[in-house]
Amino acid sequence: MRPRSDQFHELSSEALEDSFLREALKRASSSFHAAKTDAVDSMPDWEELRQRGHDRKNLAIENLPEALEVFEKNLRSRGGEVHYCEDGAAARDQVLSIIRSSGGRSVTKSKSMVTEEIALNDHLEAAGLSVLEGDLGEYIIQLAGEHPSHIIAPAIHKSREEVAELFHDHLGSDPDADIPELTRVARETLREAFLGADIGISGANFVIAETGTIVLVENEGNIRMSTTVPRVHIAVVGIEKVLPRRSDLAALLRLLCRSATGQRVTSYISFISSPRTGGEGDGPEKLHVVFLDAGRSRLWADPTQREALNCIRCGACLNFCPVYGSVGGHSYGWVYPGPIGSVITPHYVGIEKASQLPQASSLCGRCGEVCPMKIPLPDMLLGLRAKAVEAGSAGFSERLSMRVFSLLARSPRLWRLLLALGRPFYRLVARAGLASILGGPARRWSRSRSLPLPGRSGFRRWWREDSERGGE
Amino acid sequence: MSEPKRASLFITCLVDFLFPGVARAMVKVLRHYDVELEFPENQTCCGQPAFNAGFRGEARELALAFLDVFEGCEAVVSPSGSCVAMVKEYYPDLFSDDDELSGRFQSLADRTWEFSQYLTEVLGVTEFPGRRDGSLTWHDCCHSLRGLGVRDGPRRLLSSVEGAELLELEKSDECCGFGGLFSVKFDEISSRMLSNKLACIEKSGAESLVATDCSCLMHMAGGLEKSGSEVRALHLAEVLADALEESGTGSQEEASP
Amino acid sequence: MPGDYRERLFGFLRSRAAGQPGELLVEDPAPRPSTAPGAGDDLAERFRAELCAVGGEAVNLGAVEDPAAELGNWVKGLGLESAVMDSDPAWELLSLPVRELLDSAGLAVDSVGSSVTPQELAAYDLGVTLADAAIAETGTIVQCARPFRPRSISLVPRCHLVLVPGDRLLGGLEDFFEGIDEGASWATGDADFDSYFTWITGPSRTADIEKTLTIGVHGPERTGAFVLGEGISDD
Repeated sequence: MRPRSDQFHELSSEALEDSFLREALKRASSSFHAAKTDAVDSMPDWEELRQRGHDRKNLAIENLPEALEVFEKNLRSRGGEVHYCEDGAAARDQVLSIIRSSGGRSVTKSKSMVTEEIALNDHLEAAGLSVLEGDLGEYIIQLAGEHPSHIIAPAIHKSREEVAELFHDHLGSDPDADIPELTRVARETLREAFLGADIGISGANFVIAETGTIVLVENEGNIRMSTTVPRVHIAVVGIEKVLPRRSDLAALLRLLCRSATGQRVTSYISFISSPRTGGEGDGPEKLHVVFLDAGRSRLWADPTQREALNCIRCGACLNFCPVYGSVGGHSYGWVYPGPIGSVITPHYVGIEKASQLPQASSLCGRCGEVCPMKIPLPDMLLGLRAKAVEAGSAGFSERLSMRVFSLLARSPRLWRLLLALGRPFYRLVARAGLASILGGPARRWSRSRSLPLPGRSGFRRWWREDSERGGE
Repeated sequence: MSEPKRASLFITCLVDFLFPGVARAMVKVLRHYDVELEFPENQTCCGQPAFNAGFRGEARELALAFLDVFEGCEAVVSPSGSCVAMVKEYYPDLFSDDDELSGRFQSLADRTWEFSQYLTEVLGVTEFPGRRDGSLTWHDCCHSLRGLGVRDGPRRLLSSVEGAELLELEKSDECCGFGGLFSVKFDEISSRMLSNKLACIEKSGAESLVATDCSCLMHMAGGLEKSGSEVRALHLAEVLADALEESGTGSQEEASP
Repeated sequence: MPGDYRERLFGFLRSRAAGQPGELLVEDPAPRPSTAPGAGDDLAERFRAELCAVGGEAVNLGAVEDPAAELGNWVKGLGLESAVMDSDPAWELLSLPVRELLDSAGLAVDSVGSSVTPQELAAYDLGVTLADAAIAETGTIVQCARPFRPRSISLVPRCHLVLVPGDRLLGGLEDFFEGIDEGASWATGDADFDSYFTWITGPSRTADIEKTLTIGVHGPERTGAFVLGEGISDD
């Protein structure tokens, strides 16, 4: 997906004007908040669980080459195949090549952020294949020709009316259909596609080194459909998805399900370590894992930012971020929105193409608080801001102001003098309504806030006089 | 209380420039508990604006200046949760490559207190004396809440004041939208977050909004005023100083945030 | 060349790996959370309560007067026409005559072996299986790879009926993973958890449109889990 993250300002401005999106985001956020809060409240050992998830994931990431190698060995021993791709282009070609050699033409796909990253659907369709998204939210987005705006609920920005209209236009269903009816229409349409598909493409929520297992978490059943019915199953997976042992899933599944949807477990979780075995009648004949790097190894090599790879894509940080809650996912301009998106997007698409993202935060800290993996997101945003400055991306006037401010703040006498002079000047300007002469920031402040008005004198004089009076 | 406590005032650059009333109120309250106060006049800024903008060089310079001013003090008390969080959470890390300096910063951090925490944890105040009529609602400033764990202390202090009615603020822990330079770099988003906060404030029905940080208060007060609201935005110190005044309504000759 | 990147990637990663050799796969058991069922708990009741809480239907037949009638009534209540059972030899070991009960409930019942296709399974209203394991903590049914059972029998038909032998009902998630790691009785024989297994907890669902919950999307819209008072010994 081509990044538009350098347009965050424009995109978010438009998003703020969209009253529909505002309602949708409000609804989504209160629903997700309530679900997660209940789920966490019902788990007295939540903090211990977070620590466990953090530690086990760290273990896998620190031993990344071994984890990948052991996973590969185990999956291959059962007849699976493993490929490593440097970037999106290589991954797209690899997937297409697997499909071509199988002779398949119709593809059903389940929700996978990684396949969005590499724009897989467009590539396959351009090659003449039919690709259908099986997840209801992704199917809606596909019909609308849009990109997902949320990691867990991709069509959260769409109203029932919009979906009904979409289905009416593409499938001929009732333009006033209610939500159960729309779901039924989707079920019937997609069922045909599922049962006739040659190829199933998925992502993976986790891959287990110890047992060579791909783990897929869902509620709808479309992943089971796509990974059981077709002859070929291709899982496209970021290299960072590894966990050490199968038993680690006890903690990680509890963390993921509660944080993503507030459920203890989702309706279906598939644990796939093999294509169909000798005795089985269904299940894919061929199972391929296509590992994608695309900037992950470089991120891994940065010890101060490596923890971003611990993300389990639960969406909790988005749900609790007031910035995401105001502007929605599309404003971030790429696949991953919200706090995690603001951290990994600069790493994956280049800081120059996403420089606004780490800045677009009030650093309230809620993301770090809710992250089930204890990823220190606010610290990572601060780290990215520091990197940007080191790399020379700060504007000249900002750099100058910081140097001047530092100089003043280290010269106490000069500081006191400037305060004594600056206060009355500022007072004059503010009272006269001439804030605009103070520059852009003052103008932008004043659009929604009145300027603070100081008194005539400051604390220091009062303290001096008070001390002279002998204090109280 | 056996020995008299001594504390040094770190008023913060914002209070120094715009909100001296908050510092005066803090002095009044601390003196009520017989805390011997001093004000190191060479203090300036903790460096948080530079740090948040990614200018770690400048942040280190200001951290060293802060260390120079306050290192010898028994305790440092400040009316700003975010500045205290800077000192406690980030100063030691800024010098993680220098064990000696990092150690000195850690030691200073252990002696640096946000005002409400100094009251409840060092002075052990549970019930606050005096009287102040009127309804109040409390906003949890982000750095105070998540950086320092300030939540129950101020609520307990405020509800214990005779005549004060503490009304709960819906989504009190949601960011007001200030975020330092964020408020002007991303002013539209900041304003949206502010209007969400103002709606909750209005819904609470309280006459005054109270919090620990002048920065957030300045932003919320600016929004309240611009929208024509009668709700006043006050620092915790001002409310408590009012209560000591026993005037019932509190009076501020200088502008408060 | 396809193989090229593997070499370069591993070369890069190995030159910077932070871990200790051999530590990745070391056993590191964690204490069970307090919400996981304990040794003395009534697992069948916990299973039933958890599954019902998430919109599934569950009955503890061990606590019921007339299990056959209970099961028969549930099936009748579905109002379906056809059912498909797998060819699990263990059906014969149960005291409950499942096939006869389905017949009497008015369904046309077929037994299928592993050669049946998902498309053929789509013609049936009800898929019937025996659980390979079940987890009380979450109300979860586990189905693993079996030579006599197609994976999609619990997926494609509109409804799913699963019977849980008492000796395959486990307490919590840790008990399940330990069981398959240590080769518990229910995890051996031709029960192949190492190749494939799936967790099923209630019916298929979505909240993708306006966050409004709808039951029955791509998987079964009704799932009935009946915990048996008896166990089955595979060996």
